[in-house]
Amino acid sequence: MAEDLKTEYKGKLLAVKDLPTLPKVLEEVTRLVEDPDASTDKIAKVISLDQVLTAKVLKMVNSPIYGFPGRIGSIHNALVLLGFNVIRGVIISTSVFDIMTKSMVGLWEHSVGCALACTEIAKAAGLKDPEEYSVAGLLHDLGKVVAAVQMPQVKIDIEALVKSQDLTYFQAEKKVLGFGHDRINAWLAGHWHLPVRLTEGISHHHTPTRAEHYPASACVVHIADFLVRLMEYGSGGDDNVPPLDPNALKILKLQLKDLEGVLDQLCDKFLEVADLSFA
Amino acid sequence: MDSCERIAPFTRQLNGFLLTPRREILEMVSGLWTTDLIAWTIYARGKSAIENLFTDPPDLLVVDSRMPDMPGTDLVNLIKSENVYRQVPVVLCLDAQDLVQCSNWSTIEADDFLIIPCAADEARARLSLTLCRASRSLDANPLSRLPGNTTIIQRIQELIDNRQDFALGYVDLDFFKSFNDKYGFSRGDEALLMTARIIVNTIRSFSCASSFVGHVGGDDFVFILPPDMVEDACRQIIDRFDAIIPNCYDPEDQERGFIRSTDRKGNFQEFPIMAISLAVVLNLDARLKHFGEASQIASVLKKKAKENPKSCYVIDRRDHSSAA
Amino acid sequence: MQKIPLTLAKAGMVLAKPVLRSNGLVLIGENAELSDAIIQRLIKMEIENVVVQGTPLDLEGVGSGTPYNRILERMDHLFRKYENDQDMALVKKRLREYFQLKAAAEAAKAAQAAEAVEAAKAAKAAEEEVKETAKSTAKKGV
Repeated sequence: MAEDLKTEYKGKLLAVKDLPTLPKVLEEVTRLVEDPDASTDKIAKVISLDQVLTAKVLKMVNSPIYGFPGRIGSIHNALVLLGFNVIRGVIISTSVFDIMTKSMVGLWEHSVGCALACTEIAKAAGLKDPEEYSVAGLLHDLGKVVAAVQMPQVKIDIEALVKSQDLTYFQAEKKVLGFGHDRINAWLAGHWHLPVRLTEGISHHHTPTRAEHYPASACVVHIADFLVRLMEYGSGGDDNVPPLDPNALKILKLQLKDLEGVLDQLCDKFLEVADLSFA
Repeated sequence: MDSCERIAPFTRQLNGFLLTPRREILEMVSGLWTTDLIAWTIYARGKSAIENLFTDPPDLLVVDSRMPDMPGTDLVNLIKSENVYRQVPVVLCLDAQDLVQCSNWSTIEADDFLIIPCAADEARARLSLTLCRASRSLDANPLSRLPGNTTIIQRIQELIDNRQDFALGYVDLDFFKSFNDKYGFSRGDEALLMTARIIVNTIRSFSCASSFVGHVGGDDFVFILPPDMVEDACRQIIDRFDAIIPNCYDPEDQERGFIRSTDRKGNFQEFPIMAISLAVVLNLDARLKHFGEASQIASVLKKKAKENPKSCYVIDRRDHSSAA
Repeated sequence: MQKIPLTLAKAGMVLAKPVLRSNGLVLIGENAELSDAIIQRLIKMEIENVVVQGTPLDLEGVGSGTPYNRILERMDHLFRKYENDQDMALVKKRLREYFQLKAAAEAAKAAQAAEAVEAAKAAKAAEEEVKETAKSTAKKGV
């Protein structure tokens, strides 16, 4: 059970009890997934009981972020084609859609853009199950939102610093809170019992070479974040490109040239995801 | 110096890691090629090499069996156990007396070995061949990234040689050509990717260490499972395919249940929604001796499966169609 | 291709991307030609935008078409914190080259398309002229 997170901001804590709640369905489904006897049918049935959630999930899995836009007609199909990890990621992100869009203008779009970029980079790197990397892309800035919701004044102070000292949001977070949203993501991932690969993707995207177990995951998000900021698709809280660590490319065996292919795909697909919302 | 000369099949400077505390090995290996062909990073201790492996995977690793901090064989296995770096070719340097101990090569994951002292010419030839071999086995299908024919044949022959019981499934799609003709290649590719995904995720759900999925090309796939799991797998693949594939068609064709097209003479032709055909060959009690036998049996079974326009599987003389 | 508001769509435009239902499944496939009836149907379903082939509309500054020029203009600002960073300088240079190529290719395509439109107009005008001449000649002949 995760503890509250102490910050350097006026002695305040980020409280576990105030974290966004995930749909009840997710707990039951996670349990089923770990049960070797549970079938995809059963899992699909449980999710489908929540019709509102099902509609949102289908809308999301049919977007160009995933390899089969417009072709997935049921949760069962989605599970067969994309696997549970992806569906779990989609369920989580549809649940936090509201707070994301309310807390920071442009953050949802940035996250969707990042998810798209993650899939394309994973494909370019020849990684297995490229869509799984998109989950980290969707959730990599969740920490910013969690902080904003629990401590609205913190967000105002951070934004003021970004403006007055021309800092990046990440730099300003560290000054105000004592740590960045990557730390908050790690804390959140612990509380939600997210798998290690996803956790490292969202807590090491600024420090990709420090990911111990799944460096590929962190590197993919790191590069994706850079590309989406470059194209200014949505907003991450400031108008800078983050530093691009050349080791991230090396670990994935990619060269700058390979990113051009990714950019080709992104320019196209950004057009298509522009309307993806649950408003 | 001819700057176009490279170590085949590469066209760039290579990076090598050389792990050895021994001067003679260091001198021999680093003297094999000039630095513009391959740049060697030398490590006298295994630990430091492992750390750098993550951030800068080399094209080739040469490991001395006699490392001060851990046995070379342990190092090799450690490196190969990291999935991302599995394809880095590893060559082990052994002394003649080590050969006696290294009789069980299935526990040592080296790609090749050199006996020290080794003549430079031989070392050069062996390392080149190792590099070539490593790039050959990347015969992945460009669309699905699944292993291709070379790996498939290797895998099957391995199982046959080890006299293991296994079931070999050959998969292809009926009416794929008509889909491709009407909807174009990129939608055809999409349908193939879906098929690949369905097969992979289904086989995976049987969580069996010896399972395998390969993509021969086009709409031809291959999978391997233990004989007692294969019929379940076939039924699942069929059900899932039938449930998902209609969504690949435009709404009118979906509703109709078939594609209507005209050929050059203006005649109407109708093609049903794609179906998946599976042919399963069993290797029980080591009855197969060679991969060729397996593919022969499969083509007979496949013909039978394709006689049925609906999705179905045929297994060694028993015929099972999906529920109508 | 161009993303346009449905209200500006006209019959004859061809979809570059499929239109999806709210549950995500394909409603109308790509390469389908829009007709008045289809456009009305989409409006009733409250679809807001469609992506069509070519660039049939001249939308000034309405976020359509390519972002390449905008990105090129913004690059100095986005990379401002890395003036002393060699690695980032190299990245910036390579990316700049990429976007310049893309912008140039798009401009060439647009120029070609504009030429084609002009040529079509001229051909039509010439056709009209011939018809007029034929008419008046016929009248004279009576």
